[in-house]
Amino acid sequence: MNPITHSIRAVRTGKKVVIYAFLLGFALFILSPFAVIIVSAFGEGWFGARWLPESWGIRWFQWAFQMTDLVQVTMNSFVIAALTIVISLLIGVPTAWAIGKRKLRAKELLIALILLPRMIPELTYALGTAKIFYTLDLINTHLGVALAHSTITIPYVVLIMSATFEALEQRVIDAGGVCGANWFQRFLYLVIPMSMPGILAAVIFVFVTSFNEFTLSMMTYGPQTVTLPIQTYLSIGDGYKEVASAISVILLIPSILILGVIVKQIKPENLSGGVKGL
Amino acid sequence: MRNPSSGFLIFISMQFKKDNLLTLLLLFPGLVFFIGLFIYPLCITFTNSLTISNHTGYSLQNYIDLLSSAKYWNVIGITFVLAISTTILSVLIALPLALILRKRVKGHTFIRLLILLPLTVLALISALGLLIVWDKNGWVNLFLTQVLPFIDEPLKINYTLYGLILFYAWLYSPHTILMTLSSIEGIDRNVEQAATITGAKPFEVFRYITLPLSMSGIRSGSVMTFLLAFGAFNVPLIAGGNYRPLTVAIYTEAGVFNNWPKASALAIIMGILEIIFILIYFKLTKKRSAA
Repeated sequence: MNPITHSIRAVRTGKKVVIYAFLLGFALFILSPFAVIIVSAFGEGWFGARWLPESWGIRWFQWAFQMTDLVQVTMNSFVIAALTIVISLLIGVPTAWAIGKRKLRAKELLIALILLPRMIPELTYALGTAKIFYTLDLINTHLGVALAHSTITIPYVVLIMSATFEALEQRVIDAGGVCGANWFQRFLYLVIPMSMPGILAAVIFVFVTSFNEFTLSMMTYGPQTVTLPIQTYLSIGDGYKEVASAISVILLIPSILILGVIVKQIKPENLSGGVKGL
Repeated sequence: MRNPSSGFLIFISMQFKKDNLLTLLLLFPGLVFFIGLFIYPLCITFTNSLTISNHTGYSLQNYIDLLSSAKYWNVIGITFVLAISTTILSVLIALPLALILRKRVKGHTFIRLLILLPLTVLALISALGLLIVWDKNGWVNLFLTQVLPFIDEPLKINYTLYGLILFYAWLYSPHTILMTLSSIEGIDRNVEQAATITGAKPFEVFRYITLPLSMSGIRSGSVMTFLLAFGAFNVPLIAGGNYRPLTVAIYTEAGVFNNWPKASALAIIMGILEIIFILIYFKLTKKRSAA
């Protein structure tokens, strides 16, 4: 073999090794916390410098169900997420329509204003929200926690839906009007089906945000409205890493399901969206 | 006598007003939300910060107390160090990863899936897992001491500043990665090929073509990472140890010492600091992209 092609080949394999070492490192970095939680939840007698536990079992799961009301907590999380979706859509969609479809003078300023709750750290206004909710008796109610969550989900709904509405083909809607459909029929049979991908993206987004929200729940929750993140925090605070791991394994299931839906339904970069236009 | 054209004009102007009214009506729920759930709580936090517990009347005493105490300057410093280091580290992870992934190497779909994991899983679970993995007896230290020949002592990572930055990067770098990836994959490859053909070296292509063209994605992604790292609350709460950023300090003030006015003052300071930082950041990056 010619020495030049030989050295080129060597450089190429060297490059490949570096690339795959980087990818492997990244994969291990991301995956190791999950692997360790599963091992610690099912393992018994895992102390000191050992790679794996002495024996396996489901003791920590039994403990987890005895120590906390996991079924109720999961229900709370789902009810609050559903309420947040309804509130966010009811408030966000009309605003999004006004921004996407109507002539507005200071549109950019309006969008910047709407994004403010997302830009400013939640605690800044969460302290005030907690104070107000105490006087209105909204603390420790599902509605109260959902309203608090809506503060950060509505900006995303407005953002996603106004972009969706703006991209709608106005001629199709006009054609519907020419054929005799009134505004309600046009909305029901034309606008909603045509903007379904956007609505779905918004719903998934609101669900994930509400399901994972910690700060605002922390300021507005009570004994009857403990959500999954709050319960995880309380369990970690109790000091049993194994029990907390067992609860975490149960909590991982909905998160993985959500991940599956996201991969199928929406563009991943929309997840961190919001400041894209700035 | 009425001429028909003026009647038409009146009709148009009426139409216009009715249109405006409808727009306002559509904006109304959004407005109510914005004022009721954001502006009003913000004002309550602010007025609350001007009171002193067990006293009546308003004063700036809380702010004077906070800003004249070295303890709180330390807290502010730690918050900034954490947020900026996390942003830098996430860009350093995001750029090579995006450059590799756009070549669609084997297994790239799996890596893309992994990027989404930190976004969908509860941050507290991840923090718990990270604490166990990077523990003194955790897998990372086992690997370092047992597999690598030149390290004997386990490294102390948990509850240190470096460890916290690492955990933050695990949680918030996906935002930078996703935005960088989407802008790098949006670049027209012909432009880079044209540069290569006209004699640019690979590094020059990266420096003068790829990097400027993907700057908008890197910028918006890193802003998002910075904002999240600055306001991060749950991770430092359980993994921070002695390093308390602003959020934890606020929570301790309100929840543990039950001193809501002081907590509110600290929260207002945090909000103002973040807004100032964002404005500076946008000014800097705009200038650079214009040059």
